[in-house]
Amino acid sequence: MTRAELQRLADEDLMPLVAREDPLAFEVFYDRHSGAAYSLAYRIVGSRTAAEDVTQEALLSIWRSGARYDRARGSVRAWTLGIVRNRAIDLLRKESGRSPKLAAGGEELIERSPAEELTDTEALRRETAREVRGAIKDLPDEQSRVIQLAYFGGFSHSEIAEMLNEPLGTVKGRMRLGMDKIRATLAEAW
Amino acid sequence: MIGDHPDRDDLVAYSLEALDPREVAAVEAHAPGCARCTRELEALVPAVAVLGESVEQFEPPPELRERVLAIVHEEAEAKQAELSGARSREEATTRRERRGLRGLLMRPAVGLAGLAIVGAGVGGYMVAEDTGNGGGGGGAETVPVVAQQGIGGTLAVADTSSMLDLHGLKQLTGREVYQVWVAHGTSVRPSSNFIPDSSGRAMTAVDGKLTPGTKVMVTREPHPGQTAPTSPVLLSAAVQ
Repeated sequence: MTRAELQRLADEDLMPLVAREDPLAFEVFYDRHSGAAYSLAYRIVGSRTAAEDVTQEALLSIWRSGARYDRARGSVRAWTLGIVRNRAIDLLRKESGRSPKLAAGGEELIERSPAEELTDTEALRRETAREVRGAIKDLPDEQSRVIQLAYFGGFSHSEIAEMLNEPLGTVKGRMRLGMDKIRATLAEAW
Repeated sequence: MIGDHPDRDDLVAYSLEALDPREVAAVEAHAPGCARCTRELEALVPAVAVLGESVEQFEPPPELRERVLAIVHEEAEAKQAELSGARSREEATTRRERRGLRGLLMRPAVGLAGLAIVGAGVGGYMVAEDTGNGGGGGGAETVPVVAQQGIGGTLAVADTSSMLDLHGLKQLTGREVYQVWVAHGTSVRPSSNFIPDSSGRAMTAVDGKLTPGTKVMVTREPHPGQTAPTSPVLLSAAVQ
């Protein structure tokens, strides 16, 4: 199959070819998802070099594992980002004794995406992401904080409760309220 | 028995992987058998997934693409070489068997001897894989590697490219790679580089014809692209 033909395939149809170790299919997969993977890794680990390492390890693990993607576990993008997140959180835990990078500092180190021609799917993804970013921003600080500590920091709710010196029930309730708002935003976006 | 429904707060925390291990076990013991909780967890999946996409988007550096795709292509080629090596060995065996049979039919007196040689040749290759003594099969020769730090493996030498099959390799960090070097006389050239899998195994192709006296070595390098070894040799295999 040519590159142009591969580029026309939906993610779900591309992954079986990656699983059959077709390097050209992996290139297309890389070009579609490496930006999101790298951005998430950078958000979690907070350094360009570590983000590169996490992205490389996560994407190569997909290549080497025969791309065991299962449609039941959501979209290819969500599955890929789940792998990236786990690698990044592992790195944080290994390296630090835990220091989540929750501030979006240091961005000047990285060039922003140049304007590019986006596929419809990618444009929709970015628009949804923009809306969710807005929704997270609009969340009350205490809700946004617990969600970010859990998702980007890899902390458990009891660790978060201890860190914020709040009762566990309060932390759990804030997580639920925040996630409900994000779900509502998503429902509107779709 | 699936127990009581977990608190909805716990389902949300579970979906964010924020529960403590005991609570995770409780949710996982209950939810698969409970339609209501399964529905709730499924409904949370897109909201959690989109968190990962909600971060500011940056362009990954082009060197990352080059590095990852170089490894992917190299591994795909190694696999291909491995497959075609196995095919050539199979074909060579078939050819020898056919020759042996034809010889047997045409020249009964020497046919039996020919067949015995074929058997010895194939057997020799197989024994070489086990013992590392080198093979007499003609298609490929397997050379044992001399290694340290618990590393082991073999080098299968074929006509146009060879294959290192290693185990016991330590995991790498950062941009580190294992680099293969080919030494002959006083000259040393870099060949492939590779990253082992999580169990410490790796197969990598060594390009070019390896003539007798050539030594294949592996070092651990801080990043790909070195033109000469910068760290001690971890293993070597000498082609006889």
